[in-house]
Amino acid sequence: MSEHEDLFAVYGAIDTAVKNNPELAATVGRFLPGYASGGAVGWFDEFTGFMRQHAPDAAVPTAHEALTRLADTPARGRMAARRIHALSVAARVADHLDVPDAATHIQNAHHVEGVRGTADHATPENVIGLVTNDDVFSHISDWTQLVNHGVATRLLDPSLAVHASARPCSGELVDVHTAGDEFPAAELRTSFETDAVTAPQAERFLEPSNWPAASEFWCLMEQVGTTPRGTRTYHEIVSLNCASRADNSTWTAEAFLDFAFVRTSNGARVSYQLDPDHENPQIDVDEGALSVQQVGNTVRVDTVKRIRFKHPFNGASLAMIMCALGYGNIAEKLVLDCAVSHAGSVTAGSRFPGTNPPRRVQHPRNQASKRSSRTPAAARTSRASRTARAANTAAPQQPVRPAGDVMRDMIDEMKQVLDEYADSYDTMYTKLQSRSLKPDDVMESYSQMLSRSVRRSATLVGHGVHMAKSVRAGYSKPAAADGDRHTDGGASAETGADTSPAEG
Amino acid sequence: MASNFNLAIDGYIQLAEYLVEQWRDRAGDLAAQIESRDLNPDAMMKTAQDWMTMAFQSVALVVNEAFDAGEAMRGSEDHRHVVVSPPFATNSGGTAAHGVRTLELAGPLIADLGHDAIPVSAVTLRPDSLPPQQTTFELVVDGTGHPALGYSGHVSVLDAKGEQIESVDVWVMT
Repeated sequence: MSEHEDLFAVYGAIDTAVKNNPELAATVGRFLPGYASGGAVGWFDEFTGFMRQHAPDAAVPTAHEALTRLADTPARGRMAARRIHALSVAARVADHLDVPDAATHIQNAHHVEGVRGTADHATPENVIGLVTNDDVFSHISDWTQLVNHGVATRLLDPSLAVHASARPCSGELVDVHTAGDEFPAAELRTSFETDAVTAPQAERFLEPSNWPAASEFWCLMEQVGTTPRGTRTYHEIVSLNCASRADNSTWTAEAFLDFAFVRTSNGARVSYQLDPDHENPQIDVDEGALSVQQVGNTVRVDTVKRIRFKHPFNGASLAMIMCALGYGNIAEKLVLDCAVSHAGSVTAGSRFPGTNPPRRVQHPRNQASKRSSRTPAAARTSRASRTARAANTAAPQQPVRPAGDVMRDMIDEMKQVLDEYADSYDTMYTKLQSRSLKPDDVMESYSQMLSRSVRRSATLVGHGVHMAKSVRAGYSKPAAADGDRHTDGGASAETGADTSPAEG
Repeated sequence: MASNFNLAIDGYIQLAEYLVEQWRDRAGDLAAQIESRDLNPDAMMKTAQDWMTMAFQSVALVVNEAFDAGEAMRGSEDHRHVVVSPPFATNSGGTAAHGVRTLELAGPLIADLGHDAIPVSAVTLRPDSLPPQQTTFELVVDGTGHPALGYSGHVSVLDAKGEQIESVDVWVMT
């Protein structure tokens, strides 16, 4: 079992308590995302159901098991902050948890090395009393106050001071709708500042191969290729318990992500997105960016992460799932754990492979045809993904007409069809009425109708294809053409020095 | 983002396949009747009605598909995704020497991954001109339909004569 998995179980137990006692939502909603609106209630059962669709034997430990184990597991750095967060909420609803003597178990799981302070009065009762005291911590927005007060009074471990600036699970949630999608993606934005490190120190941990060392949530983050645009493809495996993921007994997700590393005037930025060459069974949107900027004496860290599972979780539930998994907090770990603890070392981490930002759009068609440097593992693609890629990257051979023009043509065409069929029907009906209909008339009418039908159907289907192209060109990549107008290379331009990685 | 438009395209593909199949079946039936010499006036009238019905159904389905595509487009309009950049500063113009300076985005914002761009028309500079002494501005970006990534570009700072006196690197995370 892992600390991540145990914290996930605690968050799950809180959700079950709220589900069975809706009046708790107001209290829990002060600290956890999605409960104030009620939208997140029930996320745990929904997520575990989703998890078992992909791993039937997967299970989450009971809250009792998790709390018992946490009591014997020291906490450190960001995980200590997450533990305080989870247990401060659990303690507030302890009477409704399905755990015998829950309050004592929570107290013990909280009073561990890395959380408890050095003062003589940092007893289990006093430390849990601090984090459940509404005068100090009545809302997640009081997080900074809680940590600063706890460290100042030596009830909390002094190493937590650096984590005062970043509230756990505080990402601002935005439902991102895309037309035609069944359900929205959830986007979480976080921002915090710290003066414990500098931007050059922090950026040494942005390269993803550093992430598994930063967090046990990342089992694997390995570069498996590069693209002609100069971006790198990484194979990512995240799990609630990397040690037991092999036997499918816990939630695990695997993805191939394209990463770009950009050097800015006062810092560094990483952007990533699911590699379209690899079909993902669980996740269909996973993209975001992480920025580290030096602003005066402080480092400002901004992150955005947009995600959608292949399951209709609502946005509030997604925010809570991200919180419980710890999926969106890599920036806090990289900067507040890794960079701070290695601030004195100039060789810790790895050199940020940043380049200048790209100055022109590289068409996907070019990357598909010129993709290179792939390992055999990375080159495995399903037929479905290849088909999807071909559909996505097929460039029009002629200028795409505006959707409105195509629509007008379709209407004109349909009017003609209706007129012609009406004329045919009128002629046939007149002849039938006058009993002058002859077999030759019928055969002639058939042949006309057949040729018209084939011709009109083909034309209308052709218009449909034009419409589809217009819709795709006008809305899916609205700026691609615009981007090209400002370039000198156009679609055939190969990756320039401005987009090549500084180191390979 | 692409998936919703793929849905629209898939809809047209499925419709085209359905229509081709339906018309092929009817043509096959007619050919079989002609070959077997079973074609009589009653059968002809029955087939004619069927063909007529199919023709109108085809038109109705194409119209319906067009409305579906329209619905997809309308959905994009309903949910704008607007983000604001961090503040940026000009080096010039801290004094009154340059007077009021005008800001212009010099081309689209290009995604870090290099595969997408946000057009100039989707970006608003706030403010779009800087009085003397003022040096900071920000971007308000309509990122609707674009992935959540970093995007970079340049803002030209123009003097009162419209001549560029500075270029400022800008970025935003959509």
